[in-house]
Amino acid sequence: MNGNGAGPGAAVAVAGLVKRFGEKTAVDQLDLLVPTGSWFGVVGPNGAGKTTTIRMIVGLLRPDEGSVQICGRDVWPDPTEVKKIVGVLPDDLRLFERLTGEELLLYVGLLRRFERDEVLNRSAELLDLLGLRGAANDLVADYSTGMRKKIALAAALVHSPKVLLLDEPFESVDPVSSKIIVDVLEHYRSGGGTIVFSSHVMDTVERLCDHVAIVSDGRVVRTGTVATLTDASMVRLEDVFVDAVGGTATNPGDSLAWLGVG
Amino acid sequence: MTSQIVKPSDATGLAGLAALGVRLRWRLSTNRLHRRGKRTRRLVILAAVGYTLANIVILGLARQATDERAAATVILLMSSMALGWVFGPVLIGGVDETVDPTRLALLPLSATERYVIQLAAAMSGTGPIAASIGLLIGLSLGHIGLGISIVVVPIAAITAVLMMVGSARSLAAALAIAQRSRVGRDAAVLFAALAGGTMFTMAQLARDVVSVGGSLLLQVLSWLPWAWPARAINAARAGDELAAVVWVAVSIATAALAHLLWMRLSNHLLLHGERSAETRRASGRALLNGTRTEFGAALSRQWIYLRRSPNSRVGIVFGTVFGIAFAMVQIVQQGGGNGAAASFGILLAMLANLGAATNVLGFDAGSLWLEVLAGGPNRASMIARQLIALPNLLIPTWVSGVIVGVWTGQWRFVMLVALLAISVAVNVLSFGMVASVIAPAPLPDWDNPFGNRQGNESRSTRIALIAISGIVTIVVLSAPIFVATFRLLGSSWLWFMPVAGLVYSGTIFLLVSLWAGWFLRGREPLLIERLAPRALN
Repeated sequence: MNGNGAGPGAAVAVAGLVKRFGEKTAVDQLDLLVPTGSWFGVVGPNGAGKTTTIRMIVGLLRPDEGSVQICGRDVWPDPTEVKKIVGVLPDDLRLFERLTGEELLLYVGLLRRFERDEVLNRSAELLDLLGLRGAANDLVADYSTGMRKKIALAAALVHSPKVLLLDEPFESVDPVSSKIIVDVLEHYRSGGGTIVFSSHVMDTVERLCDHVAIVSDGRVVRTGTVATLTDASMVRLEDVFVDAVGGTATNPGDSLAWLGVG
Repeated sequence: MTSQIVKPSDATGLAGLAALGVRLRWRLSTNRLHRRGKRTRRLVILAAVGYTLANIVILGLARQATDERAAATVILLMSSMALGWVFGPVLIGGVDETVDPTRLALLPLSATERYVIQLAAAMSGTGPIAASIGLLIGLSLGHIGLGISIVVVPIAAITAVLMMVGSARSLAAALAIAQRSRVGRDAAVLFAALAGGTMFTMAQLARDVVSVGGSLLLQVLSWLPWAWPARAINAARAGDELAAVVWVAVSIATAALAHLLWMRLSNHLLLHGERSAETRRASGRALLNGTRTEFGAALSRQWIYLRRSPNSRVGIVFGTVFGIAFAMVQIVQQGGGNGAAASFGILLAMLANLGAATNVLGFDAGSLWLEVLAGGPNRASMIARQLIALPNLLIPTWVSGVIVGVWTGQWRFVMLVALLAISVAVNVLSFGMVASVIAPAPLPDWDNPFGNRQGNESRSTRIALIAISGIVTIVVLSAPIFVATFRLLGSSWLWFMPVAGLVYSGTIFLLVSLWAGWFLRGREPLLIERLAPRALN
């Protein structure tokens, strides 16, 4: 936890991160350097350790070894300070279900010690931008999956964080909502924010990100700019990914001979 | 997003955060009550006022009572209040959102700040406010006299409330941590079930305890931490100043320890995540034996659920403990223990587990669409679903039988009733099948064993109706078995009755299953809609 590996200008610097659950090592000596102002994709197959890594980066899960710095500040042992400058959209959205969308943003802002009027102004803008104005007075418990993602994103943005970490932000979200989320994120990034998001949808990552880290078995197996990894779009990111994680598209051969309509 | 210049104010102190915690709690509570409708709101207010007044009257009347009686009342009331406060939330599930630390995990709050918000929220609910007012006013009316009691009584009352809050939240956090492993989860469930069984038994036997002021139970309760403030009050009333001061000091220290533990455990819960639960890898092959027929496949699937699903495991543990407690309390209260009648009392353990058989379609209904696609649910699957509820009904009954056998020595009767219990259980399944297809309710198989096991809110009328009609139906269906048994007492044909009873109840069960299969046909889309997980909200 000494902060080794923090590069100058790095929004997020992770060095030698390790997390074990019993005999299973979920994250194994993981290193990551996210440049400030970048849109950084963390991709990997299911169970690669993406979510565990993000939880350790944002101070939700204590690592067994290694260090994490955000904008030069050590996350561990006390993540309280860092939480002031990060916004997080976790995979398991634990929200106050019995608040309305508007109330949720208000209380998140107040608990972050912002003035009430300021929070109300920001909330109104976020609700409008995210297309939630009509549902602002509905309870979060009644929101659809996409709406929950959007209100959670608003809650992650309301304090204008320096770094935004999103775990599978587009999962179970319809194309219209995805487009809205992307627009808001691009607006955020144009203001100097850094975005780190995990996904296993290669097309989305290739389209949005400028930097990528491919994670497999708890380690970073490839990292760099999207342009470098795809050889200036000569190869698809999906092929780079399959090559990096050692996966092969198995030909079913005769094993699915029963599958068909004939 | 344009106003980045505005910075958060660090001036918001702990008092400001506490006020925020209270506002958040009230907002959540009012939204919830608003959603539940006017009648529920009125009922909640009525219950809170009634509870406050009851405490004021019970404690206030102590002024007229003898010292011994007054002391027993304070100890009993505080102990029962503490048990309800500490173990109640564990048993009924559904933790208040404001006291769940994980909802605040993403916010930049130190452990102390988070604790202050949670404490303020925990203290400002309807229940805690009603209990605090009741204790403060009741104890002041009934126990403040001259001398040290003027100081000790209010301090002890406030300390009692703080101790209950601290221990309740510590227990909840400890159980949440324990749930990270399957063994820990089962141990936590067993612990909660035993605590609940004790609460239930205490509540049932309270009348006997009060009437015997110096009973052993009362002495035991007075040594539990939640009764220590009561001991301070009783000492002050008796004029024993030194004892009063000592008990108040010990109570304050204990309350402080409970709160420190709450803070520590909440912090541990947040920083060590929720994803460390190691689950055993199941060897499925053995479990999938017998899947060659439709019924075999259905039974096999239910057997897997029974072994692996958190709700099923919780159901059996809770059902066994509560079923035994229920049966034994009724037997004790009827002065049993000295006759054959006590043996028949063990059947009550089964009635306490009625719920295991009356909503088999609603259980984990999220995957019902798969079954519908495969042509179900049908008669075979309904029979399998019902049969798998048999352990919930028979285990507590038979264990109660062993207890009664040891206690009374009436092993012959116990054996007879234990065998007849199989027929009664099949009658329970017959009723359960009707209830399950007519009035199913979604019941998710949550990983959290302390989640709401009823799987619904505002459906208590449905549950009560099913329970009442279930008891009546089962008694009516089982009556011929017992009438015939009583007629054959002393006859060599008596031991033929368990077989005859089983043929009788088995026939009813099969006929009901035919009806259920017919009833379900064509209603599948409606069923999926009624049992969709979204219906829970």
